[in-house]
Amino acid sequence: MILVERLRHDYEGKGNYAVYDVSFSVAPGTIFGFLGPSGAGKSTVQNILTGLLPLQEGRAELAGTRVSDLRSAFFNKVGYSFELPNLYNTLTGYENLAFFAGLFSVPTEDPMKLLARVGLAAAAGKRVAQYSKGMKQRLLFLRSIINRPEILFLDEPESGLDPATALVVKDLIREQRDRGAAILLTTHNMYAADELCDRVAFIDRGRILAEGSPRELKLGYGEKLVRVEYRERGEPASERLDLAGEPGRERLAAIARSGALETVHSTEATLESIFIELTGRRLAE
Amino acid sequence: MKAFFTLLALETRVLARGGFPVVILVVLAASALSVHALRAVDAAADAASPAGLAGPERLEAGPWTFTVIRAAARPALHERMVTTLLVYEVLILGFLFVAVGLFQQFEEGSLRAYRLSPGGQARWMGAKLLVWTVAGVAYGLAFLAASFELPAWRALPGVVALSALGSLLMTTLGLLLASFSRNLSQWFPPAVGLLALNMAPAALAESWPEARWFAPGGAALAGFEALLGQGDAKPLGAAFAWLGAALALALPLSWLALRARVFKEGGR
Repeated sequence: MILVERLRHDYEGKGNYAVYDVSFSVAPGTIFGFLGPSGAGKSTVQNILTGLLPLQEGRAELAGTRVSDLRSAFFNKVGYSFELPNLYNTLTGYENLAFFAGLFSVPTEDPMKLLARVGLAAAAGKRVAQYSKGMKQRLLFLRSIINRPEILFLDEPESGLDPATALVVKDLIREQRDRGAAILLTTHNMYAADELCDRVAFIDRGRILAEGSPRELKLGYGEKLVRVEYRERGEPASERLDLAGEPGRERLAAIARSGALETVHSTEATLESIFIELTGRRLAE
Repeated sequence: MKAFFTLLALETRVLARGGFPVVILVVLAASALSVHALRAVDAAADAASPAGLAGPERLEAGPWTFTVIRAAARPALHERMVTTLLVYEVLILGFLFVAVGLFQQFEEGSLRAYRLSPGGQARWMGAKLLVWTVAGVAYGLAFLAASFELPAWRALPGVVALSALGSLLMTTLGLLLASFSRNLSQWFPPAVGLLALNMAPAALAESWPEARWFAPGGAALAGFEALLGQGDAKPLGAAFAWLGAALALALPLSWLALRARVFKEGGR
């Protein structure tokens, strides 16, 4: 369980808060997506939660322990995948995983089996300094789950991955969730968040702007419109119909009855469009 | 203990792979060659000198007659080189390389990842100190062997013990100093200053012998000279006591500095 209440952080102590009154919780067996552009405050929150930054104001707890009271033994329960690679470059991929596995006093995964899951078995004996960015990213992710953590922090885990490997990594993330881990996923990739997260929060300029399940948010911010494509005298045509009103529903029925209907698309909001609506800026900015 | 042995294995691997062995071998070869060269100089000087003190020399002054039984013994150049290199090269091995290793870990970010593991500071520090102390002792013995200056069996335990204590102290000081810097460029000026201060006693030995007790290098020098029969044996106990006391002070200071600068929340 991750619990954060009214968290504030001011790097300079001049009242310019990087994070202001942020509150959320992540229950065991759920993936909580923290969505926001660079500099929104996502990493600040993660760094406070892992003790890399001091807790200034507010409350933050991991599995019932205040983050200011975390001792090294507590990290047996935690996994962390950083956005930037921080591996031992002189060690091989296998040695990096085996080294971290050796630090834990809880049961750990077999490094070789994990490497094989993400297609790194052949490169297991290669020094990390020779790995590509994507290979390092995979290794970082594997390192974060080697101790089967109760609490998992993932910072842009899909960054630099090819689509096939990204799928495997997403499956592994879901496995952790199904095992009961509370996962905080920090990303500006709305598609990954939409696919993986049970709940998401939009954060911008240090403040949470909206929170809910992706479905709830999309329904809450979307319009009840459909876009229909059909043929009229043999030529392709399309219309946007408002199903909230009787004329729209009747028009849709008429096109369907005519037999000319080709496709129907809902126009529900995307996480990206909701973020733009809330902030006036894009997630990837 | 599993975590500690894991860290020992890591440190050993990093030592073995980081280019350190090549550097160490080159320096070892150069040092041993310098001792051999000085031995040749000493032999040439001996050969060039007149019959020396073949028999007692008599000096007469007024009513007195002095008989010089033997001149005050002064270690040969190559012998002095051996003790000097033991102190100012072998013992500072850990001081230098532990800092290089630390900055490498800062740069690759692996230390940040380690901080979020259950490994802890004590094991991390213990593993580094142990590996570099053992490396220092092994390097010292290798240097003595390569210089054909291995001491008699009776003196060997003392040489090993003094090397271990000196290496441990200097490695601890190396960690202490490195914790205040972010990279090699920042670390270099204060490190050179500290090493120069450590060497000052050797430079002042002729004019001010007591100066040796102002720096670890001087104390270790007195200890090695006593062990290798180059001087009075009395300072040996004092050398061990001096280095032991310095270590007792340096260990907690280094611990606190690392805690505040590297391992504490908000650290690197």
